[in-house]
Amino acid sequence: MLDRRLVSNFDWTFIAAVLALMAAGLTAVYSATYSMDGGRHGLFVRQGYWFIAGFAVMLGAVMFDYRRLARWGYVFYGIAVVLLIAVMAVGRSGMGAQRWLPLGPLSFQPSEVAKLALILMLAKFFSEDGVTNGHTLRQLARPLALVMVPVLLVVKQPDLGTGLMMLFIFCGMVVVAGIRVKSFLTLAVTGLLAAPLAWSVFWGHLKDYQKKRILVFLSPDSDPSGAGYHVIQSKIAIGSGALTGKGYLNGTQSQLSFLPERHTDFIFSVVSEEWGFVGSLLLLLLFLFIILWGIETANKAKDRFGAMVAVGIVSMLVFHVVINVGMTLGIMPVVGVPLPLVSYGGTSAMTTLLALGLLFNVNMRRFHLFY
Amino acid sequence: MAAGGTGRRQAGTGAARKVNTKGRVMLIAALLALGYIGITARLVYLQVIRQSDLAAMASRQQTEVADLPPRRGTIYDRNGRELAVSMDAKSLYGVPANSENPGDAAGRLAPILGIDARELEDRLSGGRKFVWLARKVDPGVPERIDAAGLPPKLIGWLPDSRRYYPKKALAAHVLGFTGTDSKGLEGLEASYEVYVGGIAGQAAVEKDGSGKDVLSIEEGYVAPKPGCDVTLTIDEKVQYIAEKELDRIMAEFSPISATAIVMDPNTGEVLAMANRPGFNPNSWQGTKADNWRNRAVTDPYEPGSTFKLVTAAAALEEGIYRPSDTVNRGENQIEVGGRIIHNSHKEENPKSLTFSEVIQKSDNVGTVKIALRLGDDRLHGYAQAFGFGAKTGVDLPGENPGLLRDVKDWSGVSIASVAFGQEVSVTPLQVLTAVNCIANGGWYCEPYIVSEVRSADGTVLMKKQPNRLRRVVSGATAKTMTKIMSTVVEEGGTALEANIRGYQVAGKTGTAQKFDPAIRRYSKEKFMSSFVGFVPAESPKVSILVVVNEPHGQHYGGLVAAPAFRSIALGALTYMKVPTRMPEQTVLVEGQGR
Repeated sequence: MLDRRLVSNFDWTFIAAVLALMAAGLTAVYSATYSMDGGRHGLFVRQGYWFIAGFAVMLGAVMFDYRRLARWGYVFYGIAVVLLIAVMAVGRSGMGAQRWLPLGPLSFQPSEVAKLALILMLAKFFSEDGVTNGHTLRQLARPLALVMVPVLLVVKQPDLGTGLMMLFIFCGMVVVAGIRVKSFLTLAVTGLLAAPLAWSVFWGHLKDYQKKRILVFLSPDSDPSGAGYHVIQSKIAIGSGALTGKGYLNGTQSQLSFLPERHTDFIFSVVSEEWGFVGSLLLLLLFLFIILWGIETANKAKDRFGAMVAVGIVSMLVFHVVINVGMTLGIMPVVGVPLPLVSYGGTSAMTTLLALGLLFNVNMRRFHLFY
Repeated sequence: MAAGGTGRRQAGTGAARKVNTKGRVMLIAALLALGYIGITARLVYLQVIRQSDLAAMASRQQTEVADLPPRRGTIYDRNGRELAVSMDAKSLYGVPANSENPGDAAGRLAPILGIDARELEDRLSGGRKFVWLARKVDPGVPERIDAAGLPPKLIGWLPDSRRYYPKKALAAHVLGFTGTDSKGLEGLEASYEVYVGGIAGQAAVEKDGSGKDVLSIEEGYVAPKPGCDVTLTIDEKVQYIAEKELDRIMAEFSPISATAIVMDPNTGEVLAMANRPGFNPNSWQGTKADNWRNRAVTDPYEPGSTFKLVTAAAALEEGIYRPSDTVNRGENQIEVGGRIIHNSHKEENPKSLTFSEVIQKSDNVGTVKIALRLGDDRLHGYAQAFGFGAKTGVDLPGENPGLLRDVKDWSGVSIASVAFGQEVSVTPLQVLTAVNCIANGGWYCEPYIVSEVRSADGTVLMKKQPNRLRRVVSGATAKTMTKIMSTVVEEGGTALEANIRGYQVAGKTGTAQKFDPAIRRYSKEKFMSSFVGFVPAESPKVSILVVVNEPHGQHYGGLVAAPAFRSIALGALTYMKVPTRMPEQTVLVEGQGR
């Protein structure tokens, strides 16, 4: 199944980078959950199992020719939508949202997987619509409609972060697939004009906590003990980490539990407090390497489908990293987006590793092979 | 950000097709660069430029502050006798940040403190700098712990105090009690917490020279402020007399509960307020929460015949009847709003009754006739003026306002029911306060139980004066009512048992059938038996109410509550050295005393 010649195309540095990122992530989860469940490290061990399973999935995603996925693009999309509807019907609630599907002892977050299904569907669409001179608005209407179905389902859960993420992925892929300057400008201008109207509708549908987060982003000190608490504590943690950090497991803000959600959305603050500016930069460089490698893959892909898949995955990574880190630093609103492979969370880890596997798949098969 | 892409490269061959996305992918790269520049700049800003003030914020957050417990004030009776005091005790704290082997330390402390070792280990683990290990330990414990050889600076002592009620169960419902954190939980301890409680001090935990965390008594130290002393209107001796009498009632009639209140009707001061079942506030943890309730203010009941005083006083004040007017011309029943109202004990040959006799004999038919001439609005108005349906405003927690429904909610029969104390619910304190209006010549005096609050340095912060809120009836009406109430304890009245030789008693019995929710009717077995009165009638020194909830054996207020009224009154009068009516009897009473 896996040709010898293909193995010679293996880019081991990428595998090494992914493994390094996973190690960094596990280390961070260990520290963030260190003082949580009386020293049993349950969450850390669980994340370890997820990583082992995820790595296997990643290797599995390399084994076959990615082009075979193109045929299934809409099927994956359909399954994802069905799963999202299932979550609404029978999903398990947690922290005020209904996001999880029970799966035996585990639970599973279809919204994460839906992002990947969306990428495959859009890649198939844009690789086959034959538009090479930039899309017109009319040509974009259909994919946009398809994207809005899962977006609305996810926002309804409510998971604003993942919904936005899907829209960003779509935008990233549209830009690369091509959009006419005129269309783009029309879209931008109508967008700006319609924004106040859309905003008032959208604002009315937000949950109170979502409204609060946006208000707090605009002015974090307005509610220091309430919604602004996350961001203020995060900034204190990061700032007090200074140049070289307080040392592993010595982050006082993190270990004394001042920092909420520190093993999920705010894990970057833990890393930053304990490893300082130097450690934060190293982690960001690791992400940068993987993302640039993905951009390279998109550029060198042998067909449009592969390129679009790579672009989708790259967009996903870029937006996750920039928004998550920006949020911990107080320069992005708190929308609840995990930091891939670093934040605690099984489905997110699995999805990211599967995506990286596909990226690797596209990269590995970038040369035309003639059998 | 727009990318046309068609101008520069013509798509045609496969190779060209492949590169057609290339330039546009760079747009994503540009976005990435933008994001990374922003993030890095922000990291530099937070971790380099603002590093020192954010680090200061972090350490300020992590500074642990220990609350130093204040000493609670003393609660005195009206004569300065101590009812609740605070005694020196020590409390043990731990500094988990200094602990190297919490398991070992916990193992040594546990048997001495009598606390689970696992729990102690939990508290001594983790990086905190101050945790309470045991509050207010028993005498002797500090010495044993100091001898246990624990690592230095792991534990320390702070002065604390322990609440003690020297008179044990006496006035327990009025005083209440405190929890382990020395906060008042019930009674005056709770409602006067802001005064009695004092203000906690603070000591910051800081590193000493050896790098260990210790409580600092220099920087940031705030000494705890002791609580205020509170003086009550309660007289310990009168309280004791009332409580002893309730014990006797409990033994003799085994009721569900019993309440006795003694007041000075001229001022509204509560001299005694006692309830059974009771509890010992020194060991309240082991007692039922049901026993903590101060039923004198928290438990409303249908008063029955004692409420006839309101009806009668209203009719006199309105000039509808004179005491000698004939009211009941020998009827045994009367129909009101479709309901037949009987007298509780049917006479074979009923006689005509005057207004005065209606009250003396507690005649239902007569009372209803009086009420019918008063009308709904006036009856309701006087009931309100006497203080029913509203809280008395006494400074005790958990007071119930009772229930006096608006006239618009009355049915056709309501006027009759209310006239003899049904369809209204009242608290014992409301009843006695209402009767005080008759005793003191017509004034509604706000009842109170705290007379003075004095800070620890002796400054008087609050001094309560008697408060005559309003005139309810005229002095003449009050005087007439007193005369009628005097006949209740005399030949032909319902409460001969309340008669005291040498003193003129004025009072009224109440034998209220309790409403039984099970049969949705008034019960024939369950009664609220009460007696309310004051003495000496001509210039009252005390007013007393005794309420007994479901007595067994007897149920007439005149037989259950009236004897208790007499005992309490006699005890209080003797203690207060109130002279008897006839000089020769004073000698006799004193002669008996010796």
